[in-house]
Amino acid sequence: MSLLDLSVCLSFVLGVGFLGYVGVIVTGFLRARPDAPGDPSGYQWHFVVPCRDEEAVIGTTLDHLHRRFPTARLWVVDDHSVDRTAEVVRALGDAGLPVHLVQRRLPDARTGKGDALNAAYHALEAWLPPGTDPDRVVLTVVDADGRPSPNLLQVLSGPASFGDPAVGAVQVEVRMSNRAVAAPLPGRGRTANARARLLARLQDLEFRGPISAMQITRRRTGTVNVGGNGQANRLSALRQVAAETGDPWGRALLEDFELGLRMMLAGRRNGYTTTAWVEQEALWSVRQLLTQRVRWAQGSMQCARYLPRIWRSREFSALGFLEVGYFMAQPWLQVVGLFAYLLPIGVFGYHAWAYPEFTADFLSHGGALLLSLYLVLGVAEFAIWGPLYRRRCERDIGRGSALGYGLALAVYAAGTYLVAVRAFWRLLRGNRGWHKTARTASVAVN
Amino acid sequence: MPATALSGLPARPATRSRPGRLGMVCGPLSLALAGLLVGGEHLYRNLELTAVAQLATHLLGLRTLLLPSPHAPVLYAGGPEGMERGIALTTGCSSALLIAPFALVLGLLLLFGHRRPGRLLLALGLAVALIAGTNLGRLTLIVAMQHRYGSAGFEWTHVLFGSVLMMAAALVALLLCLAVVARGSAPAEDVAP
Repeated sequence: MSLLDLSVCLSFVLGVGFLGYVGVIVTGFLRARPDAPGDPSGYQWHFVVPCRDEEAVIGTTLDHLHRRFPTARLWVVDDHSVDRTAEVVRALGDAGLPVHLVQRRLPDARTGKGDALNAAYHALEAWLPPGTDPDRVVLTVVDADGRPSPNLLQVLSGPASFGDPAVGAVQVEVRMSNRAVAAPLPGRGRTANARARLLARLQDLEFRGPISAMQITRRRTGTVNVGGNGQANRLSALRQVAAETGDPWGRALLEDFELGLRMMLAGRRNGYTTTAWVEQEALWSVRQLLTQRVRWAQGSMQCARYLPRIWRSREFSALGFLEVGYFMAQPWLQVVGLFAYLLPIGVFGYHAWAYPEFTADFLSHGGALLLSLYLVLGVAEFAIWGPLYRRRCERDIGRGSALGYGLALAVYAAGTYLVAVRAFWRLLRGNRGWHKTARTASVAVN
Repeated sequence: MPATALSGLPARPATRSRPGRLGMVCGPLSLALAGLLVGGEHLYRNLELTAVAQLATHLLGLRTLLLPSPHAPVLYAGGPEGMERGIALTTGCSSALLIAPFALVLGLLLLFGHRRPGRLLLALGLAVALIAGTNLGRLTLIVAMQHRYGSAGFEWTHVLFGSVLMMAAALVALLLCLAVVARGSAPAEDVAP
């Protein structure tokens, strides 16, 4: 067996496997229906907003949250900001907003978002009066620029969310607030702005398309996981998870994914809904996006240490184990896949140069059609999300634009291979630094 | 930690069944099969090409000659007018490495625990039958097309039609296995709180 033979077989297996996976999640995505609302008055609602140098946005965010959800309390974790974040929060508290400032100072600050959220958790626990029913207390994590949908509390109270006692956490759909900004980079050229606009739109498509579809499928497998923005947690479930180490959130770079796993290991079910959502800023810079995604991939790789516990756990079904295993294997498979796909392509390229007649013979006897089929399938499994995005999420965009976004998504997705390799390299070198994603400049929607 | 420990909720029944005797026996066997298919794929290829030779002889009425080789077994087939160009079965054209992942994953699921381990074995059997059978059919078709149309028949069948056939078979096998695993796996929404 040569390395080329192995690569050919591996690329075939990985390709067919991914194609099947896309088929499964697209089916679930198309079948999804809205979730029924519930009565939020039976719960105590808390928003947790971790912050570091967010003076530009935190004030408007807190004001927005209070106006939209007047019964909710707001917990802002100031992770040793050097700007006026704390002053802004205090001023709003003095003005009568139900806001709590949880300040962290170096050296006990900037140690990761998980630690910041744990600080808020402990502060909330200390604040709650004795006898509070933890099953009726919900903490929702929102980014400093986060904008939850108006129906958030009603949907979270519904029978598919916290209305079901088994549910410990719920993730809502994530949307990009700046997906329709016409001139994201004023002062820069037309090309830079077009690229930034496309990048924002692709992030919106990604979250509301394939990521949402994966989560919808996970409702069937019982392995829904939570993200960094728009994750709502029942306090009793957080206590259950915290019983192990004292803190609910861990120290992986993907602390939200880690929490979701720990929730499942604790016997809780996680919910997911597209009926409510949270909006956040998309990144307009490719470099920032790659940095963010490398962190996510590395965080996912770090969570591989939970696989033995998942294996031993009785809380996962066989299908759930399969799903979690496949998802957690993704970054690793991408590292392998990069070489498995590139080697045969490289050998083909060499043969085309060294043996042009042989290659021409191959192409003229079905080879060209076969390669075209591979290309079409390889692109189509991403491009399909463009029309699906238009159909289910953004009916205002044109059919041509939708197809264009889908094709762009195929290029966008190719970047994940480089992300996986970089994350793997960082993991090997023991780099665990947390790079907070810089805030993009806010521009009024045109 | 059970849900009753802290919250007062009734304990959720465990979602997963422990592996029974069937799972504990067949799980390692399935994993061993995966290992054998990878480590012994050269032997598998010889067996595969032997089967193709039999099909070419009995179904197509051709004369066949099978030559083992250190790199790839070679099958010569032809009619009364003589043997055509030999067909070498390389690793990339064998079903061994396509079946191995199914044996690996289903073996792990058998060991992990499933309410219906018999269904997993059925899924494995179907996947093996589908992929191995389709590859035998593909190879026999290649022999037949070469006999009928010569070099062009070989090229088109080998390069295009055979590849598409195998892709379809692998995809069907995958979706079939997923459906079988899903049916016997406790769906989260059916577990009573």
